[in-house]
Amino acid sequence: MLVAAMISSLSATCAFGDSGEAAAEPAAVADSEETAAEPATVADSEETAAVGVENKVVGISTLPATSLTSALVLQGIVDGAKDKGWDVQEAPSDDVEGQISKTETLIEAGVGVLAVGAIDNDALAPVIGKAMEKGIRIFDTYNLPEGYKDIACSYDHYQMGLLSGKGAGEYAKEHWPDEEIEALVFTSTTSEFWISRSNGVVDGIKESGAKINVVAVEEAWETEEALKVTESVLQAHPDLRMVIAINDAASLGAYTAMVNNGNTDGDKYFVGAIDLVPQMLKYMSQENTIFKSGVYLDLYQQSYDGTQLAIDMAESGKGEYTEIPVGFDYVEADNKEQIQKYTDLFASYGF
Amino acid sequence: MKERVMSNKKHFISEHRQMLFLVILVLLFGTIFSLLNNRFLSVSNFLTIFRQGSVIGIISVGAMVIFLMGCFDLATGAAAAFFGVAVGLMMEKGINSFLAIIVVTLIILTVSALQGMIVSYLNCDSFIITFGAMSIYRGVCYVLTRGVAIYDIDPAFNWIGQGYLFGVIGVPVVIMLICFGIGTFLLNYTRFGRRVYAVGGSEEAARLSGVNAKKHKVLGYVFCGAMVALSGLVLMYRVNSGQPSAGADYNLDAISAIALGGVSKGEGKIGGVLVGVFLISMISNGLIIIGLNDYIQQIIKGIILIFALSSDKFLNIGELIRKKG
Repeated sequence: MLVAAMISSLSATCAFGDSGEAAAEPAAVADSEETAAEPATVADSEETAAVGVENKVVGISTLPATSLTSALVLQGIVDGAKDKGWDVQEAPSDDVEGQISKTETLIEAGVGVLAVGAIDNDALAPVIGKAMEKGIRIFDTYNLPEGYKDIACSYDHYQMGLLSGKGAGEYAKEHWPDEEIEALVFTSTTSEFWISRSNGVVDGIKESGAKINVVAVEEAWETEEALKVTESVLQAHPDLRMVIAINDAASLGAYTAMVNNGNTDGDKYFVGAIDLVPQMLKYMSQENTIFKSGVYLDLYQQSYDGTQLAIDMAESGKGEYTEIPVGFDYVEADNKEQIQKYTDLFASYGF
Repeated sequence: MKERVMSNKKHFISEHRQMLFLVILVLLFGTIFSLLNNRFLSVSNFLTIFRQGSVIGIISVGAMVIFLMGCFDLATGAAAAFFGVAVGLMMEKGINSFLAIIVVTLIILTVSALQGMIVSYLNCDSFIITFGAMSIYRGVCYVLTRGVAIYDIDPAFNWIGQGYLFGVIGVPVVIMLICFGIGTFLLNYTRFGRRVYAVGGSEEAARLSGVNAKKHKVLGYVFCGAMVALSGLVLMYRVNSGQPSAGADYNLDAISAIALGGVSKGEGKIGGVLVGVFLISMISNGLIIIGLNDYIQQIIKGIILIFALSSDKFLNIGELIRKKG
C-alpha cells in the first residue's frame, strides 16, 4: 500500500493535469507563510543560492517502504544519489503532520535535494515552498501542486487499472467466451490512487465487453486482509473465478485464498494485479497457474533518473522543469519471455 | 423447590450474563446476516469465520492473562509480524527451520519478559512500554526487510496455516482452540491462574497474602509472548510469507475481543473471549458476505462494537436505578 503510495511517489506519468487539479493555489503558501513569498519557481530558484548543495545530501520525505514497489522507489533514489557521490537522509513518515515535521527537519539539516512523495499534497506544499526558497531542488515522486517541484513524476493510476481490467476481460473473452464469470475487484479507500486503480479495473472490464460480473469490490491492499476478504467472498460467491487486485501484496493474499479453496486449475481461475514483484513472477511461471497477470512499473529507473537530474540541477544551479514519464507494461503468465525478462530485471536490482 | 430452581436460574443468569449477552449478539447478527444472504449460514462459512479469527484468538489468550492483571500489550501485532519476518529471513539464509522458529520464539519471550519487568519492577505504564516495544518491533521488521515481504518460507510447515484436520477444520482453528484450552487450564486449575485473578482484583491484597504480584506480571507477559510467537507462526503460514506490515490492528482487535468477552481487572472468563473473537471475526465476514459497501462496513463495525461494549454497562445502570428506586 505504502507501496502504491511510494509508487505514486516516484512514478510517473507526470499527470500534470491531475496535479493541477489537486494543487493548492500557490497563493495559499503566501497566506500561510508570513513571508508572503510566492513559492519559488524553477526560474526563481536558479537565482537563489542552494544552501544545501555543499552538503551533498538528498533528503527523502516519503511514506515508509512497506513493499517491494516502494522499496524499488527508495532504492532508485539511493542509488541515483550514490552514483553522483551524494549521501541520502531518509525521513519516512506515515502521517501528514509527521511528514511536515520531518520535511522541515530535512530542510534545516541542509539537504540540497528533496525527494518527496507527499501523503497530502496540499498540506505539504507550504513546506516545499519554503525549501524552494532556500534553493533546494525538489524531485516530486507523486503529485505536488504545480510550482512546487523541479522534477516531477506522477502516475495515472486509472490507466494502470484500465490496462489490468482490459487484460482480464480479453483473457475471459478468449478462454471463456460463452460463460458468465464472477469476479472480485479490490480497492482501498485509504488513498485516491487506490480508488483510481480499482475504478480503472472495473471500467477496463466493462470496456473489454467480456461477460464478467463483478460481484464485489472490496477493501484490501494487504496480504492478510486480501486473504480474509477473498475467503469471505468465496463463501458468498462459491462460483467466483476471477480476482483482480490493485497491488502486489493483495494479489498474493487472494492467490493464497483461491489455492486454499482448491481453486488451482489455471484453465478455470484467474488472479491478476497491478504491480509486479518477484513472488508474483514465480507464481506466474508455474505450470497451469491461476496467477495470470501483473503490471510492471518502471519505478526504480524513474526514481534513479529523477534523483540524478535533481542533483544536476542543484549542482549547476540551472535547469528547467522536467517531467519523467513512467513506463508500465502488462505482463501475462502466458508470455514466458516477459516473465524471464522481469525476473532478470528484479535480480539486477538486487531483489 | 420451585423457589430454589428460580434462585438457581437467577444465579446462573447473573453469573453468565456477559456470556449470554454475547451469545444473543452472535445470534442476532447471525440472523441478520443470514436473512440478507443465506450463504452466511453454512458450516463452511462458520469454519471460515473461525479460521479468520484464529490469529487474533491466539493472541487474545495471552493478552487476556495480562489484561486480568490490569496490563496491556500493544506490541502483539508487531511482534507477530516480526516473528514471520525474522523466521522467514533465517529460512531464506538456509538456517534450519525448526531452529529458526525456536530462536525467534526465544527472542520474543525475552522481549516480553523485559516488558513485564519494566512494567512491574519499575512501575511503568504498560501502555507506554508496550507501545515502545511495538515501535521497535515494527522498525526492526522494516530494517530487516526494506519493506519487502519474505516469501522463501519452508513449505514443510505449510499445514500450520493452510492445513485441515479431517479435511474440514482448519489447522489454525485447532491451534487456537488448543490455546484456549491451555488458557482455561492455566487460569482455572492452577495456582498461577488463581493468583492472576488475585493480583488483578487487588494487587495490594494479593501482596499481603503472600502473592508476588510483580513476578506474576512478568510471567503473564512471558505467557503472552509465547502466544504471540505462536500466532506469528500461524500468521506466517497462513499468508505464506513474512509480512513486515502485518498485524497492525491485532492489538486492538485482541483487546476488543477481551473486553467484549467481559474481562476486566481480576474478573472474566476465557470462554467469553472466545465468543468475543468469534463475534469480531463474524462481523467482518458477515458485512462482506452481505455485500455492504466498505465505507458503511467501517461505520457498522464501529457501531456494533460500541453497542456491544457499552450495553452491558447500561444494563448495570438499569439494575442500579431499580435497586435505588
